[in-house]
Amino acid sequence: MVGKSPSMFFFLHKSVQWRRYFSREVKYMGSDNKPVISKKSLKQLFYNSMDFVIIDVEWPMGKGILCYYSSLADPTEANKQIDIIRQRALEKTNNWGKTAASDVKPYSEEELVKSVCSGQTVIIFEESQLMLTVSAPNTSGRTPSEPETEQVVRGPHDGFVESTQINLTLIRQKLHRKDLVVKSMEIGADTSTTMTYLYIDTIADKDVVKLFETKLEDVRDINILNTGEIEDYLEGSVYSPFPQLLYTERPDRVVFNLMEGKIALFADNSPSAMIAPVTFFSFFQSPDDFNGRVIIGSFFRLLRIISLVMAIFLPAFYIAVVSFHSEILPIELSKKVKLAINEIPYRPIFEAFILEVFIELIREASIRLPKPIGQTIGVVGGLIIGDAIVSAGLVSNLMVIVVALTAISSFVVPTAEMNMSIRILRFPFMIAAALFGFFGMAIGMMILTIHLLTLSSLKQPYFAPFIPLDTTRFMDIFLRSPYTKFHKQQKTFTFISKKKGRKS
Amino acid sequence: MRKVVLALLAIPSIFLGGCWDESQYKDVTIVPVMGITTSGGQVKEFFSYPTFHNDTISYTQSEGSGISGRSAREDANHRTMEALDFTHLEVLLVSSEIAKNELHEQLDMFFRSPRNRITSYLAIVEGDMEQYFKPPGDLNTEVADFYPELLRTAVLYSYITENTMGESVKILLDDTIDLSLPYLTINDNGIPTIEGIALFSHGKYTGATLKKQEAVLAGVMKKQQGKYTRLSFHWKERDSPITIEIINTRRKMKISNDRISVNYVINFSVVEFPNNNLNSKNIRRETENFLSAEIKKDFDKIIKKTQENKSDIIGFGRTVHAFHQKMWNKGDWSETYSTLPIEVNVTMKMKRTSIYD
Repeated sequence: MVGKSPSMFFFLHKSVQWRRYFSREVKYMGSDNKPVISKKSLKQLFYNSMDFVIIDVEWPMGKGILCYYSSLADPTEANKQIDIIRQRALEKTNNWGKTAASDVKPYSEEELVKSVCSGQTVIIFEESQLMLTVSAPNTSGRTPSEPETEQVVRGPHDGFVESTQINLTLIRQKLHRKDLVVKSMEIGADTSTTMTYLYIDTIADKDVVKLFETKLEDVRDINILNTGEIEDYLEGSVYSPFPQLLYTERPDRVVFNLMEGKIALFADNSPSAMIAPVTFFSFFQSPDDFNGRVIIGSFFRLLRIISLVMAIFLPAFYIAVVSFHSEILPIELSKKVKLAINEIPYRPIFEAFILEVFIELIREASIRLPKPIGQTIGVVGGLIIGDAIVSAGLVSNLMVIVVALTAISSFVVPTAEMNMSIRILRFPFMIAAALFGFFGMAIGMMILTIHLLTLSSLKQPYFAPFIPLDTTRFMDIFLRSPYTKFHKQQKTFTFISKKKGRKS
Repeated sequence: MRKVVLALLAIPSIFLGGCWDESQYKDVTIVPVMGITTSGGQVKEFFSYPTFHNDTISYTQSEGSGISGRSAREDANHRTMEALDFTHLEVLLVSSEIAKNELHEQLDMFFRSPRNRITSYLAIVEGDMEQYFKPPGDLNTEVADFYPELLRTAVLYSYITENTMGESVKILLDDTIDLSLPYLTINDNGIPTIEGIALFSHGKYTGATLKKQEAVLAGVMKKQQGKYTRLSFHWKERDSPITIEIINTRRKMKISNDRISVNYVINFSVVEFPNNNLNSKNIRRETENFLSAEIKKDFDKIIKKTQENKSDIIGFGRTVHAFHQKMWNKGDWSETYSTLPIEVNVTMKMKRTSIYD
C-alpha cells in the first residue's frame, strides 16, 4: 500500500532528512521492511475498543494518524500541544518534536501500546516510521484531603491521592532537598504499573536501597495493581502477625520517615505510601507527637505503649485470674468478682469469645456502612445488646468491662495494620491463658518476644533498639524528647556513625 | 510423620484445661474467717463465708470435724454447696486449748499449698469457739466481715503488733524470741473483743495475757508500732488526765555477763492534757519526768510478767544469741531469761504540744 503511493519518492526523500534530525534514535529501515500502518490495523491492535479514537491528520511533512484513548487523554489540551508542535515543525526548528510535553520516537507497536495506555496522544507518521507522543492526560481525580484513618489534631491536613505525580508534588513541597531521589520502575508483564520510590541519598543506607531495588527487580514480571500485593514480595516473613512495612496516606509522615533514612514506595493509582525499613515502634508514632509539645507528646506515646500491653494481655489476664489464680484478687475486690461471675453458665474463655466476636462483628459491620447507619450500629450493638447480654446472664459485666477496655485500647494504636495485628494477637493469648493460666501467658509472651527479636524489615532489625541494644534511644521510643536536645540519627542499624538529625 | 505426632500432641492439649490445675473462681466459695478448736479428742473447725445467689450476698456458717485440721476441712466440704477455698482466708481463730498444746501442728496445712494465704491474721480466743461464730450480742455486721476489720483496726492503733500466720510461725519456731498473739474474749454485751495479747513460751500458750495498755506498751518495747500509738495516764498531783501519742522510740541495750540494762528514749506528742500550761518549760520538764516514771513502772511490770511466764516476747534473746554467746550458752534461754535481772530506763521527750499558746 505504501509502496504504491505516488508521492513515495517525496516521502522517502523527507525521511532521509528526518533521519538526519533524529539520527541518534532512528534506525533507518528499508522500505521493504516497513510494517503496515493503517487505521484498520491500528484499530485491530486495540481490539476495536470504543474509546480508542483514531483520526487522520495533515502534517507539514505529510499525513499522520492520530490516536488516543478518549478515557485517558484530554483532547482539548492535546490539540493545543499539537498546534504548538505543528508550528515548530513548519518553522523547521531543530528537534521540533521535543518539547516539555512531547517526544518523537521510532515507531513500534509495543511502544505505541505503552504510550497510548499511559494516556498519551500519539501521531504516527507511517512514511518515516516515527511517532510523536503528546502528553495531555485527563487529570480527573480527588484533591488531596485528610485521610480518614489517620486524622490528627494538629498538623497538616492533606493526604495522598491516587496520582503519584500529585503525591510527589506534596512531598517535594515539604522537603526542599536536592538529595531527595525519586526513581521509578515499570512492573508487570501484561499490565504495567509504575512503582515510584524515593529516599534521601545522603541519609538512606546504601545497602538497604540496593536490597530494596533488587527486591523490586525480582517482581518486575508480576502483574501488580496495588501496594498491598507488592507487600507480600517485599516482606521477610509473610506469615508474621506484625506488618513489616508501614502504610500511610499522610505526606508529613512520609517526610518524617524519609528524614530518618527510610524508603517510601508509591504505586500508581494507590493513595498509600509504603515505608521500609521500619521498626516495631514506628507503628506507635503519630504526627501529633511531633507537632505537640514535649510533655503532651510523651504522655500520649506512653499511653500508646500501655494500650498495646492492655490490648494484648488484658482479656488473657482476666481469664487466667478467674480460672486459675483467684488467690491474687485483692480481698476487697474478690466478693464483687465472685458476685459477677457466679451464675455465668460457661467457662470464661467462651464468655470472652462471645464478646470478642460480638465486638469484631460491630466493627466489621460499621466500617462499610454509611456514617449515620454506622453510628446506629454502634449504639444498638454497644449499648443495647451489651446491656441485654449482661442482664440475660450470658456474659458477666466484668467481662464486658474487660473486653470493651481491650477494644478501646486496641484502637489507640495509630496505624491501621498494627491495630489489626494486635486485635488478632489477643486470641492466642486468651487460649493460652484458658489452658494454662499465667504459665500459658508467660510461654506465649516468650514466643512473641522471640518472634519479634528475629523479625526484620528489609533485613534491618524490627525490634530495634532492643536488638541490637541501644539504651540511648529508649528515651525517643517511650517519650518524645525535645528537638532542642541532640538526637542520634539512626542512619544504619549498625551504629557506626553518629550524626545529628531528626529523631524517630 | 513428625507433623502428625506434633498435631497429636498439640490437639489434646487444648482439652487439658479441665484436668490441669484449673479451679474456676465461680465454682469455689471463699472463706474469710475460720476457727479451729478441739472437742472430745477431735479437731473441730468453723467456717464463716459469703454465699452468692441472685445477685445478693448472704453469709452462712458451717463446721466440720476430723482427726486433724485438714480432715476437718474435708469433712466440711461434704456439707457445703461449693468447695471451700482458703486462698482468701483473712482471720484464723485458734482456741486457747489448741494454743496451749499444738498450735504449730494445726498451722502446718497452710504452708503445704502455694494457694494458701499466709498473710492472714492469727488470734487466740477464750471459751467456746461456736460462740465466736454466733455471738450472743449484735455485731451489726457479719462475722466474716467483723473479725478482719477488728484485727486490722487493732494493728493500726498498735493494740496488737501485726501477727500474720507467716510471721507467727517464724517466731513460733525461733528459740530467741517468743510469740505473742491477739487475745479475744466475749465481753458482757456478748461481743468479741480484743482483751490484749496472749504470751507464748516454747511455742505454747502459757495461759497468761497482757491487758490492753500493757499490750500497747509491749509493742513500744518491741519497737513495733502501728500508725497510731496512744497512751492515757491519770496525773494525780495535777488532777488531770494526760494522753500522749508516741512518735518514735529509740532503744539501747547493754548486756553484761549477768544483767541486761535497756535505755528507751521515746519521743511523744501530747494529744490530750486539759491542765495545759505546756508553754512553761518547767511544766514540760515535769510532764516528761512524770511520764518517764509511769512508763518505766509499766515496763517493769511487763518484764516481770513475761519473766514469770518464761516468755521473752520482746526478743532480748536475739541480741544475746547474736553477741553474747556466753550468756546464751548458760542453758535454755527461757530459763535464763526468767531469772535475768533486767533494768529499764525510760527518757520521755516531748516533741509537740499539739497546740499553739
